[in-house]
Amino acid sequence: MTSINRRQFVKGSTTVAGGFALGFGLTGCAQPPYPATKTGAFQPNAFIQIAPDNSIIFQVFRAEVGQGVSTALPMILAEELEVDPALIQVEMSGVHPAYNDPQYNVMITGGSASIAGAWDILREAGAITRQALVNAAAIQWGVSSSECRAVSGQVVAESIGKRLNYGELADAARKLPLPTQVALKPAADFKVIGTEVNRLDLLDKVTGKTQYSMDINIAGGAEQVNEPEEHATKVAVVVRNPELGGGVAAFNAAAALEQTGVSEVFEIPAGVAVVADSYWHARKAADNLQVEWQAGSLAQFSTAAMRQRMDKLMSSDAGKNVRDDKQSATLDPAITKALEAEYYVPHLAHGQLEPSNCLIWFREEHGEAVCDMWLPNQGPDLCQKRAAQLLGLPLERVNIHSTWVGSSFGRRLNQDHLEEAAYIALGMKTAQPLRLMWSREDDTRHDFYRPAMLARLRAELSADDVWRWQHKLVGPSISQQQIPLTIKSIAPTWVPELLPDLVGKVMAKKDFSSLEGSVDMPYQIANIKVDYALLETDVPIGYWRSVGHSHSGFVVESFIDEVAHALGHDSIEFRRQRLQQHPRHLAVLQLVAEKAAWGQSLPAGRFHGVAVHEAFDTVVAEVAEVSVHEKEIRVHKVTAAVHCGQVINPLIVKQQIESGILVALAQTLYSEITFDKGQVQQSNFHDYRVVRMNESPEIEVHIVPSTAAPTGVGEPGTPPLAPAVANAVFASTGQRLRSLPLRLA
Amino acid sequence: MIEFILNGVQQQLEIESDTPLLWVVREEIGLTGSKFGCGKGLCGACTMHVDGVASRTCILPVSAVAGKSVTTIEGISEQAQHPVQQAWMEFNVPQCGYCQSGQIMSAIALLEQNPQPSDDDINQFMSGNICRCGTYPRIRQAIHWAAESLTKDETQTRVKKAGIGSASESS
Repeated sequence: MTSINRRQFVKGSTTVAGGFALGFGLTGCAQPPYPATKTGAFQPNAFIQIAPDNSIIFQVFRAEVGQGVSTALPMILAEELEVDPALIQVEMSGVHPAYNDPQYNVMITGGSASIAGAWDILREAGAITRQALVNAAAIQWGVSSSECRAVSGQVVAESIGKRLNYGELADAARKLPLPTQVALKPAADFKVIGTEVNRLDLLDKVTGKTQYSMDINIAGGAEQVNEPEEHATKVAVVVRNPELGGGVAAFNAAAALEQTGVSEVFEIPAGVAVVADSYWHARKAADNLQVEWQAGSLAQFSTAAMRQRMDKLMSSDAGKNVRDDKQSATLDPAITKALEAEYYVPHLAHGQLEPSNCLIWFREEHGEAVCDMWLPNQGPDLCQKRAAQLLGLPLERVNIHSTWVGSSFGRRLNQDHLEEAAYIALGMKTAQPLRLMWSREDDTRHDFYRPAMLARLRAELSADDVWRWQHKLVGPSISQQQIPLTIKSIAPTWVPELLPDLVGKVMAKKDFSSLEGSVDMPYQIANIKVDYALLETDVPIGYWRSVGHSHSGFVVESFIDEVAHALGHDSIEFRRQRLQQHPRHLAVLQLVAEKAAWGQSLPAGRFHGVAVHEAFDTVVAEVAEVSVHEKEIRVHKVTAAVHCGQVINPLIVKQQIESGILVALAQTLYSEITFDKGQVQQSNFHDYRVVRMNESPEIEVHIVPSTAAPTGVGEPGTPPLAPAVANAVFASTGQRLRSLPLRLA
Repeated sequence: MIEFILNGVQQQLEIESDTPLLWVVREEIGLTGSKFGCGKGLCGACTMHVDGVASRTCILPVSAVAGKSVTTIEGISEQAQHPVQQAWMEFNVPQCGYCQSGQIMSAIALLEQNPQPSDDDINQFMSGNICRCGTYPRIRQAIHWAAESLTKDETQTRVKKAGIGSASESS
């Protein structure tokens, strides 16, 4: 079964299970011109251009959130183009249909799909560009193209001793028709792909030069500091109802308006906006704002009450069956034992280090309204459409500038920061640039959380095997909330509000973003039954690194370990025997067992735990080396093995698995979001704990060599970590911990 | 009127004395290399050197640096010539990069007070700098490499001559 996961995020927007299409296109009919054209450049496609001065400029068309696409994407193209990737200059792209993800049909960054989606497209683009330059040289020299070859940014014809660099050929290449058929290099000839190329963004990131959106300063079109007052950028903060879903009943701005530097205070849907000349002035004024809050639907919401509702749904007949395999016709072994367990994971905030923010400049130019926005985002075309809707502008007068992003983990898929900035810009008396700033408290308390999930598992065992695996999940549906939001932002205004909500409801009952990794669990067991009961919720929920896999990995890989132990089998051997149809799973298990020295003795007090999980077509196995001191769990080392098809840059693959592991470690040991009286109880990094240097293990990543089509690595490092640690804790203490964060009794 | 030295340049500012140094540097002066992550001194993204000491400037009122010398990431080396910056590139430390200005400033301060730190020393000193992307293992390796590099006489001389880093007096 293919992992459908977040593809439902937007696919569901255009067709619904049951087959009716919503009947409007997501892209325009005519091909718009390629964006960001440099004067005189040869620009054969939307991705690369060669300027006459020999600059090679690549448009990065996925969000660079740390996962390294700004290096890996140009590397793919550089291979066929025959240039050193270190010589490529990168820019964050604008909006263009050529940048659409081939599966999602929008410019979304997500589902660990950037490399996989661009693999064929970029190689072809690079090859066509190269061939066009070769053809241009051949014509210029009066020889056949077959006598010329491209090497290291030049076209060379050895037979006549001539060479020209790409920049010198740009002008000639522009005037020729593009080649339509090109051969792509076989993997054996790769010189760039598969090599450890240093990230292209290193220099700027170690000197403080990288511009995140809150660093960008504009004034009258020029970037400068200390602009004249009438062009000066205003800064706004929003005071929000601490109760989720609540509103504003009344507010008194008198004290706030008396504060230095404050210009305006007014209400927007998200709360009360305080506009000032600097962040500090806005924040101080906001502290002086008096607001009477209006309770909303979540006023009495608490995690404790939610757990009770979950328990009720779990014990009842509620829910839909989503898998029922009977792999053998007769099922009559001597069942001697049944194992039952319940697993729970809490809500999680993203904790992305750059707080939400957005810079907007909505003004008139030559008598027409126009808008520029600079913001961290994972879908600039969706941003453009939403901004155009809110501001009442045609698309061509909304310019979205995607910026370098200070991590995301799925946070920037939502457009709440864009919407708030638009409402503030609409409400402001002046047309000055406006920088919306969120505090860490805002981010912790007004997130789109990874949903809490409850799982009950039951396995029926004979003396030497497991025969039945039953898994019921209870939890909210991300699709139920997120898909209507997406549709609303891209649908023409004549589509009734009701329709996106209806689509959401239909998607919710079998929401793959809740079920991925659970419904398609790979182990060969005679009878597998999976059910899902939807927990209706108004708590804002969203995509958190690895989405459904962020809990299914923990649940499935912990319970399979319980089963293995009950049958007296080694954890890896037990899995191996039941994954015979899954060569990638077998490959990573073998590699991780070897590299972690599984089964060999460890220093006193240290124990190993293992887990293997497939997410977004990539398979990762992890072995955690853990010790327990009183009630403290210490993770000393994590060894990981990954199968992601053809590796573009091993260095970036390793970085991403390290990253996935460390984000997972936070949810394994520390992080949770809890609610009481409608409010999030955590606020900043002291009570929403994440992993720090002194808590981080040694990490070793090993890659299974492969020339199969590349699959993603942004998220797959996350799912196996929690179960690997929990399984090691069991080996150490005999305590089976079934909730995250892990807490020893 | 608050007066202090920033990256070797004298500053004279009319600004409320309780304004955190981070916002003075970012908004008044316009150097955006130091970052805002939490506003409570918990994440370290705002780390600068005040008279050589690593400080969380999102909670440090500007009045506290009157008469002192402040160094930001911009004052280290524009071309990344400091051994710590070289080490960061050698090990491909940054991912999203948002925490790295703070990480580098803390690492430089660590090595200035402890030229041969153990893993434990590194863990403790750097525990105030959060990295959500998980670059900690590479930071550890990079700090060891930079420490090695800094013990070499020629590196010390080069660093001093070029005026790289907060220890230097040249402007």
